[in-house]
Amino acid sequence: MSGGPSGKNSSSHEPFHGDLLSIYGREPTLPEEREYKTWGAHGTCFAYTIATWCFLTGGYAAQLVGAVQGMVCLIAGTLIGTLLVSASLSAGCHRYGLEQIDFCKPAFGQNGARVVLIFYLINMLGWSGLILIMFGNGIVNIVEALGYHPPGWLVGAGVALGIWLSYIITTRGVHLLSLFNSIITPALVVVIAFMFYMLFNTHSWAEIAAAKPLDPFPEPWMNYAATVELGIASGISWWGGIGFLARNTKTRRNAIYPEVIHFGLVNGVVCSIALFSGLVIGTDDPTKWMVPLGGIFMGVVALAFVALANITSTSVSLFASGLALRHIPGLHKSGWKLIIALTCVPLLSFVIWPRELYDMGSAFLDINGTMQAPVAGILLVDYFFLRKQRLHLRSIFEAAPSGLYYYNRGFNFLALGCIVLGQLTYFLIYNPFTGEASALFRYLPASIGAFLVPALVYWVGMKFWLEGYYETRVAAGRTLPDRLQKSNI
Amino acid sequence: MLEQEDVKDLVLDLEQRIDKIQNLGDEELGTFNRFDWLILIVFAIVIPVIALVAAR
Repeated sequence: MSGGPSGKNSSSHEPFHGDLLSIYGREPTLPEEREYKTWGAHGTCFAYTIATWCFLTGGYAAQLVGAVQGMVCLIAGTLIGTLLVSASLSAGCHRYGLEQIDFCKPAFGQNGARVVLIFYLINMLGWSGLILIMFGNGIVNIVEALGYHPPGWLVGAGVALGIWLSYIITTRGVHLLSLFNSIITPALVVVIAFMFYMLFNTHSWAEIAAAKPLDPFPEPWMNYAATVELGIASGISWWGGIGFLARNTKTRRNAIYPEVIHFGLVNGVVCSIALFSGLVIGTDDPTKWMVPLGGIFMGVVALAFVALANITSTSVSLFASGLALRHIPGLHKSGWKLIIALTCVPLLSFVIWPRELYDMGSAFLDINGTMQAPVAGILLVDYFFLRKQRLHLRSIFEAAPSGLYYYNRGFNFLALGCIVLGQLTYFLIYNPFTGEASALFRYLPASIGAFLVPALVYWVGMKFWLEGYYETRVAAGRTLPDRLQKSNI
Repeated sequence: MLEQEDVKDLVLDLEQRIDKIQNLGDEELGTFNRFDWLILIVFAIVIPVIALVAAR
């Protein structure tokens, strides 16, 4: 593999380094290669959580509900959404050291997992683009706070700078990312605590609790339901980062507890602080909160640290996206720098149209719910209830039809059909583009419906078909080979 | 890009990893038992649902 921290390339003819391929490629990670112990796992999850996406979600919630209802909806929603997506992914990716698209292969098939890959890349790169815009907005607000008049192109230039910094960090490897987090994370704790302190120092709780939502629906129940949905969708959106983190942790508990605590609870709390800020300051743009809350000096410092945290988050996203791109034929064995450069290409659209794409952030969050909730439901049923946490690892890397997860031409059409069913369920309950909702939405969040219905249909379908599938193969004498026939790596 | 020789080494390395990882147990990966699941379900499902119903 070319690239990677050692800068090894094809012309060097250096000896093969399998350890690098496990970290910068799709090979399963061995326990001794995994970076994150307890503090590393908590630090990375925390730094990944404390990014502007929390502020973005809190800002959207401020449009719909007040402080108390919003806080409950956001914290509860993110906890529920995070556990639903992380249960199977954390357990499976950690147990087998798998990158998460590989983990999807037992359920969706060798080729069917590439459909999930498309969702995955949309999720990861979409979020990266949005927080890079906020990185750019942060620079603009710092410049304004210092008394200058920033030119209109500065946001786009900030996005470009953010892409470049993220590229540098990502291509230097997990160790640098971990080191970066260990510096940024404590600083961010101080920033968030300071923001929280200033919020309550300048505004009483009674004032915050009485603040009206910025742009609510006419029906109160609809605002409540839409905010619960926002919280759950926010939790489910972590789908993209979970496998990457889990496969790099040392122990099972470190693979899941930090994710639920930080992606669920801490995320919900920070979203709530953002909600309060949005309500009392009267805007849903997070980069406009810091200076009014903290004054020029502390506001600028806070903006700078949040901006740096965005770079950390983008780097983790790029890293995970780079691993995912290795599933595309032709990129299996490409250099790490080339892979990361390719993941940056779609982000260039955020350099060109930052404001237009930023305004689509709320719709993007809901689209994530439609894409990831059915996948999460199917994976949960597949890993825990159908396969009892036992995968045939060799078949995951077997491209030949002899592999256990080849199904029909590499596709498990039942699982793929269940994704469509989940998306239909979501839109039947709630259409985020039009704001129309069925009566069911009052009691059932659309993401939960899109999680449960495909999970149930998949379980019933596979319960009968999967067992028959095994029996047919064994009866035909097609026992599983003990060596790879055609590696897909 | 990888050279052909590297690809062979890569597949060999993958085979070794598969054999090793397939047989890993609690000693190498740590424990995670039903009590852990109970904690997580109460913490991340039961309490949040109660809170959501109460705040409605």
